[in-house]
Amino acid sequence: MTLTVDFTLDGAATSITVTEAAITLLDILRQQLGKTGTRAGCRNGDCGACTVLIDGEAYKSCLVPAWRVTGTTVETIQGLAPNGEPLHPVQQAFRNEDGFQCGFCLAGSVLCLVSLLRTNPDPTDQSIVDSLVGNLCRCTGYQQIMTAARAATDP
Amino acid sequence: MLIPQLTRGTIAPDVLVDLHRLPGAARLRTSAGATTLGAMVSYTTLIRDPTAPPLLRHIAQGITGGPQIRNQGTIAGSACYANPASEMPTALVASGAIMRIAGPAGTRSCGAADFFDGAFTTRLAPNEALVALDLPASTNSPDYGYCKIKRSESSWPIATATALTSGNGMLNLVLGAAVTRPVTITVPPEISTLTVATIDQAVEHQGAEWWADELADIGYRRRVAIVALTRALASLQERIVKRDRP
Repeated sequence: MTLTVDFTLDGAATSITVTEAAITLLDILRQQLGKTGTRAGCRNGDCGACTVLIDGEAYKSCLVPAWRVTGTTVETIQGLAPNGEPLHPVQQAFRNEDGFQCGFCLAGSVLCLVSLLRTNPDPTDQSIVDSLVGNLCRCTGYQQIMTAARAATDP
Repeated sequence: MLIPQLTRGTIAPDVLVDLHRLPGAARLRTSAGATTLGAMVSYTTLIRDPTAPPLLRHIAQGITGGPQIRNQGTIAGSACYANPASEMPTALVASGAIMRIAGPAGTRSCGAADFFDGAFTTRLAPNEALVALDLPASTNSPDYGYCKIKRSESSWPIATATALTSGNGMLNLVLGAAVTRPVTITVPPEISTLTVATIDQAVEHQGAEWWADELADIGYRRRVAIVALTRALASLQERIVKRDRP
């Protein structure tokens, strides 16, 4: 198969050629499009390290066949503060509150919160937890993640 | 789970069909209390639609994997995969869902209780697709009970149970995750009638078997099944009491 897939990636019109049905958005992002901030973790939909936003909603890119993003808008962690722009408020909150240790899960947690805050600017603790439960922190720094999330929602 | 299997090469289908282009596939429609879910209706669509059946919305909110999985996972996809540990097969049997199936010979319907054949197997023929699910108006009741027993937030369930009242005053309980396919147990409202022997009998009569995986063996699942069913019933009774409280 050969499919041309046109979509918007971190604000830029992007076109890729997909030759395998099984190739994932994760692999295209990392291997062809330089988006290595999107981490390859479990490749099984469990850990959330590969999270991206598709049309504003969080997805695990290891579970998204690349051809499925035709016509969509994809945002990665690298699109939140491009070209030296100030950090996104959620990123800044994680930096201020030590919301990450090794940083491997960071993109997933940050993007899930960004998506939540766009539709719910004043979330409850339960809404924050619900938005984050798909992300595994291998350093087990969940308390700092919650502290950072609360700081991001109540700056 | 099919995408990881595809990317690892453990399955290699000759043809892959994208149902997203099927007209109405992502639509949820409610009419006179009855609900129709297209094959591509996601958990998130269900959660966000206040007209959707309360039991299904409740279960969708707790699907393991976070918003990322709820945005991508579909009710019909979960049904077709028929993982014994999945929550939706049990919910669909409890709801009396009718599965609309399309194939070369046309369309046909199959009740959810007959659709699930066993662990990871359904009555879908290789050249058929599940295109929609019809949920009767009786499903759209605020009175439901649900219990899920699992080890951690990111873990698959070990036992699930639903409790709904039926028209004749009896209670319909459905056990999932602990068995290879959902098992229905009808009991009078007095919970004392539910025993391990009753459950064993229902499992055997309905052609199911106790299920074991890396999370729990058959012995453990058999022991916690009655706990899950009892808690589902208690949660149903709690909802009814709350509703009736002035």
